[in-house]
Amino acid sequence: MNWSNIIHDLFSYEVSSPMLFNSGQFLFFFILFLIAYAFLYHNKLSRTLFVLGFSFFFYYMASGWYLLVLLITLGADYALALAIHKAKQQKYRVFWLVLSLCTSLGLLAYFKYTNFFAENCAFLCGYAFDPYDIFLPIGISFYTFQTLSYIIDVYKRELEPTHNFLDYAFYMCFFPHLVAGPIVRAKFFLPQLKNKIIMNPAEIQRGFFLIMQGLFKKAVLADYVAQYNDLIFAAPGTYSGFENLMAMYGYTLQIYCDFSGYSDMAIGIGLLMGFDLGINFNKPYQALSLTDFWRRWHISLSAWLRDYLYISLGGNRKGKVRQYVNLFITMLLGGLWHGPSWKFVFWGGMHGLGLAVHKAWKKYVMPGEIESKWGSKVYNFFAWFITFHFVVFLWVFFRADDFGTAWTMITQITSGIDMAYLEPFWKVRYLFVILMLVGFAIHAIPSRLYPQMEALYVKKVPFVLKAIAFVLLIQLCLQFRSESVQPFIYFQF
Amino acid sequence: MKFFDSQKPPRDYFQYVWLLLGVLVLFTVLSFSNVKIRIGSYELKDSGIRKFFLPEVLPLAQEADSIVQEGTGDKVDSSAQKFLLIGDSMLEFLRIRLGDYCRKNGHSMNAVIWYSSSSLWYGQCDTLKHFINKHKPTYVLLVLGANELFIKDITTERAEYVRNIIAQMDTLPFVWIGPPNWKDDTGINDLILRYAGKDRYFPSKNLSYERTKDGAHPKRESAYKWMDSVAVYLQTEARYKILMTPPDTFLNKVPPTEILQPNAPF
Repeated sequence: MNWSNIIHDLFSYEVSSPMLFNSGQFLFFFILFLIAYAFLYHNKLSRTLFVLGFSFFFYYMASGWYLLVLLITLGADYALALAIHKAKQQKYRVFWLVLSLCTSLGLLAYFKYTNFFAENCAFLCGYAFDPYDIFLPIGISFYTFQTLSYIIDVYKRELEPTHNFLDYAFYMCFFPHLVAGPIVRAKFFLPQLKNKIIMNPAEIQRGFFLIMQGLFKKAVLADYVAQYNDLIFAAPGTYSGFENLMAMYGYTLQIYCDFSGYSDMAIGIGLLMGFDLGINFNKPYQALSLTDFWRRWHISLSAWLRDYLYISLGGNRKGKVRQYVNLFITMLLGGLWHGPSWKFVFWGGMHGLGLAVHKAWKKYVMPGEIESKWGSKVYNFFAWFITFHFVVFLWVFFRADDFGTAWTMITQITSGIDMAYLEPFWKVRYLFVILMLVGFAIHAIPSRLYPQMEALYVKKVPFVLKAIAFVLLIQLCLQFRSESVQPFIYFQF
Repeated sequence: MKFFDSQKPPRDYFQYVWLLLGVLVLFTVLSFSNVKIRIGSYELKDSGIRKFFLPEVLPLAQEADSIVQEGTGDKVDSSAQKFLLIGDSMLEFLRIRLGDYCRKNGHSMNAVIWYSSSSLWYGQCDTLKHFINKHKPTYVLLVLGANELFIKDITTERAEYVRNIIAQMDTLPFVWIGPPNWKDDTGINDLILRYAGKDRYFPSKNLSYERTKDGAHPKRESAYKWMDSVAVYLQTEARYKILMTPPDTFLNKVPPTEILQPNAPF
């Protein structure tokens, strides 16, 4: 055993395998963390220093020395928030605000959008473009939006900035939400730091339940289904319409399980430590309208876009037409936040258009509720069906490498779906089908039953059964980690 | 001020800490004990913890390792060769252009396309050996790997099959034409390079291609250029260098080909 190599591998950042919640490396460090946390959590200073130290270490293991970018944002916005708060004259408040926005958004723009803008400029000017080698630090979009909300709230005098740098650093860098959200508001989180941490046994149980749920969604469902989806999206023209259709639904499940699974783990880890991070997903595919969808999907981002972009643009206060335009612009920029590509802008813009159409529908076509019970059920079914498939359709553009690939996929699907593929597809891809059914079945559990299920787990299930379930879950993750989907099955032969 | 506090979290907290610790210990012990647990025909996978502490150095296949394939050094063998071009669907257009080279240089060829095949398929059966025995080639060109660009843990999953394929070619000169990647692979090219060596592996992934509408297979003209590059490699860089003077014309004539159905051999 070469211990120096082992220690090096354990403590050094690896670009190709950043440390995330679903890695064995994280489990190892997290156990050590929890043991120490038990002795430190009650004292505020020791807790803050310890959690902050671990958060920096976690970020280093996930993103390397781009930790420095995080520290620059951290230091700058802490100082600028205080400067905004202390400034007597409005012009100075505006100056510090603009400086803060330029710092945070400037860093985000440089790391995330430089190549995008340069490529488009090159295209417009008609010269060849060779992308710059710029690494995107993990989580920069999340922590930038988080610090923006803090600064803007301070500027609007809706929040008094904390004078304690450690509190601010804790809020910004708390490792459960640092790399993939939820985007937590200071108004919601900072008070938790001032209060004494009370570890509630029921919340600890709930936290672990969420960690298990998130792990299952991310490491079993999303990661396995992703393999099939990757094959189809890589070369959709090679596959039949039926296989493309399955990949379209597959990606719908994958992105939900991937993202909400990670959020579940983050929220669960927070609860284990005595912190509440709110909720980030609430059965989004059960939505009956696009407005409803965005109240359930990535809730912390939707709320951020609503509060800091849509309302800042005027929201619904300047007439209906302006409201629709504001919705469109908000979602257009929301799309760009997801990635530096026109496909994300298109995806966001289409969602904005859909939201505007839904608002107009509710205003001019269907202002009231349907009174008949059956009429309401039928209406709700069609409302759900249209909303779901609109979202599914747009995921194609979100996932495909470019518009051409997305178009090929849609062409394959619309050029004919032969149900004769169903049987061979089941025979070859039965595991994919089973996981899809399990994933959508879990998602279909009515929201009202969910708290009961959680309560059942917390109160009724003996610890031994929980332990067995956890061991089985870890083994399941291992099984699926090394299951590879066979590519290029040519059904036409 | 007390840095450590005597107040402890509730019992539930420690239950879960012990559970996490217990799971880590359990999977570590299982991994080090090398116990294979089976449920019916299904084998439970290892956590890989042992591999983290004791990384495996993959041994070369004894059979493949013991076979010494002679090279031509700096010289070029100008004698007529008999090619066996075998592999997956990627050789569809390569074979036509190779036919042009054969006519120009006095070589001959047979092609075998096994659709959807991979090193897993060829490595688990003697199909390659069968066609070598059948056609008695003097040179094998293997086009394989496009169907396993995205396999997880490819080094451990496919290494023995790659070695087995190479072993099947015995002392015959061969070149493994790597897959024309349309995306980064998870290691199949590295694996082939590792076992074939850079003088028997042509890195097709370094070329750029115009693709057919499936986004994966090179178009006819692009595949012809691909074969032209392979031909240069065969004459100048391969372990066994042969005469591959570029043909003046494109005859677009399909050489003798056998097609195998896309069924796994198991």
